[in-house]
Amino acid sequence: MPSQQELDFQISPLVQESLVHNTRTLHNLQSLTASLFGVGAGILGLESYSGFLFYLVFSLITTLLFYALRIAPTAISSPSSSSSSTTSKGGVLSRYFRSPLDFWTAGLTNGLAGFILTWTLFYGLVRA
Amino acid sequence: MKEPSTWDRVLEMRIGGESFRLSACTQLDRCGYGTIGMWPLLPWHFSECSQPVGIVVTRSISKSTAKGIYPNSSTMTLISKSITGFGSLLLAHACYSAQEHSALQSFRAATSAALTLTPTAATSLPMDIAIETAVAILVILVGLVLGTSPMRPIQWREWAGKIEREGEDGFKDNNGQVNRDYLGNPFAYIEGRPNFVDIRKQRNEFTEWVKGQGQEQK
Amino acid sequence: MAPSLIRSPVQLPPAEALALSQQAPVVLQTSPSTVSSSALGSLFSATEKPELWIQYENLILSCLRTGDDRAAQECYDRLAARFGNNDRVKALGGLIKEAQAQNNGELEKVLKEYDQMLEENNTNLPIMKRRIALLRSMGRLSDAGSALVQLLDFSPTDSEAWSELSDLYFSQGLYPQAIYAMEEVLILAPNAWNVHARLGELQYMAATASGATGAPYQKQMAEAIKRFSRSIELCDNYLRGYYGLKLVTKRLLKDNAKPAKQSDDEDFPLPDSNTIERLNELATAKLAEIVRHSSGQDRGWRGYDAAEVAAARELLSEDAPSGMER
Repeated sequence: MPSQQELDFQISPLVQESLVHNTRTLHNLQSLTASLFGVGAGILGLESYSGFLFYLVFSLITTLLFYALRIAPTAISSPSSSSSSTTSKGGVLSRYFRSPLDFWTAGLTNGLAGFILTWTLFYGLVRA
Repeated sequence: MKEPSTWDRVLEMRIGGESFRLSACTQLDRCGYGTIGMWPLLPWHFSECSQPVGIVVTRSISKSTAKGIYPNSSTMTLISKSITGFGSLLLAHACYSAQEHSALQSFRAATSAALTLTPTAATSLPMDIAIETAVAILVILVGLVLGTSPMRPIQWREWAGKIEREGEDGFKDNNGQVNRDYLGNPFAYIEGRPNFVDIRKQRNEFTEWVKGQGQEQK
Repeated sequence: MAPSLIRSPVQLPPAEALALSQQAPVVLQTSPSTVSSSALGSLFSATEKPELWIQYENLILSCLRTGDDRAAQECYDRLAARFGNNDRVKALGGLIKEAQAQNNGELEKVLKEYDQMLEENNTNLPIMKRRIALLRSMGRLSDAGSALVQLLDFSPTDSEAWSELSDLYFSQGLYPQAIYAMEEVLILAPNAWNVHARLGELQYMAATASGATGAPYQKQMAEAIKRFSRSIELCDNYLRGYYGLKLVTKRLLKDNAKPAKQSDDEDFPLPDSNTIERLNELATAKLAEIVRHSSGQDRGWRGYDAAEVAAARELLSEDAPSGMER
């Protein structure tokens, strides 16, 4: 006997291509912006913990902005939202991403290496 | 309903506010029914030849007029790009200022050391440069986020519904071009059967259609 | 706006096929006539994209349909220059010959060529499919059927071939066999909403064609409802699914006006009349919504086929006077 979760997936399957497309879009944005934050941290001359705090704050802002500009507006405009029950189940986020936790935290690890690279580079350039 | 094992899935639909359960069975049973008779025709069985041409024409016209009303997605790219460009300018300026500032600092430290005055501590960055940096980053951030391609629904029904309902319109990227990996209904080939196409029949149908067109115009 | 060249043009209406084939000169002119296949050559000459070859293939199909044989031949030559003796390209060449054949004798010649190629390699899928299509086109349905069964024997995961078999049986009025073949397709592609709808249509036709009103009739109608429901469940606002659901429930409601006996010892009992009534209402409401939005050209509702919307409108207008009577 298949489990309840398997049954659910059979009844309403997920589209893998869309899932890949969404996570790739978010991932690209995050690695691009992470190196941007590195530039900022280098210009400001941040050192040790304050630099990482800067990164943490700004990558959270990125995800928040992405949510506010790209995901939240679709909840209102979608014509099918009146009939579908998916929106009521787990918010708008579940329409595009599998787990909300992934969405909010994946950005922290995605761009860390890029951040440190540009951080040290611009710190050196500006302070030299 | 009596035997849950025969029902593979149960689907729930909401109708008129109250929900009820309609059982959907995908268990494939094979039993032969003897039937031969007239074939009732649904429109999909002759859609190839019965396309009302008038509708197609009006559709394409109203499509082009409708385009002017709604903001084109290519203007979206322009907005995103100009915001990002403006932010980058700000950031470059902030970077240059910070560099100048630190150069000035070290120069002043060197001269003050020569004058044997009390060495000033390395002052932190002026407030305006810090603010400019933060603003620049935020501006670029907004530009980049606006430039990301639209999300696609991951629920099968929603995704399929989007293909059926919006067609190509729903799968455009930011340049207003239909996305390259968009292929319409990915299962359309099962019914279309391009490898089994009866080309002679299609050719005849097409010539018939052209003749019909000619008569219509007269 | 002409439809995309990447997608298969087989199901398109004539007007759009014409628009496609009119693009042929542009495509042929803008893309390079020869593409080097060697790694070193690709450094200097134009880069090759897989879409280009798909475009050529689709252009051949729509150009042959509209009678533009020269463009089709040009596309074929380019494909042949790049891929040489590929089976798929050979099948396209056969397709061109079929289209240009004037009489039955020439068709026989093409058929003989196919047979020869199959003698060398009897699992040559593209050629085999062409041969079956040609046999069917020449009216030799039983030959086509047996060849198709033979093909499915060694390639049972070919959903396209199963679908062709289903269509072949359907054209002969053999509904149970057609339904069986469609179910095989469903095993291979369980989430294909259009196949669910197609199967629902087949069930509905099988039920209504027999003229019986007994247990098999009810069973098949119940099956049809389930198939259409599943296609709607897999695809929001699926016009075809709602259309079918409306047809079936309307018919069942009409039957119910007469005293119909409910047999309850079945595997798939019909839902009770209350449920059918509500399903009918849902389908009517949804169809009306789709027709309204689609004819208003609302943003986000432009994907529907105009012919399908027109058919749905007709069905709704048929319903309106009878609703007044009730």
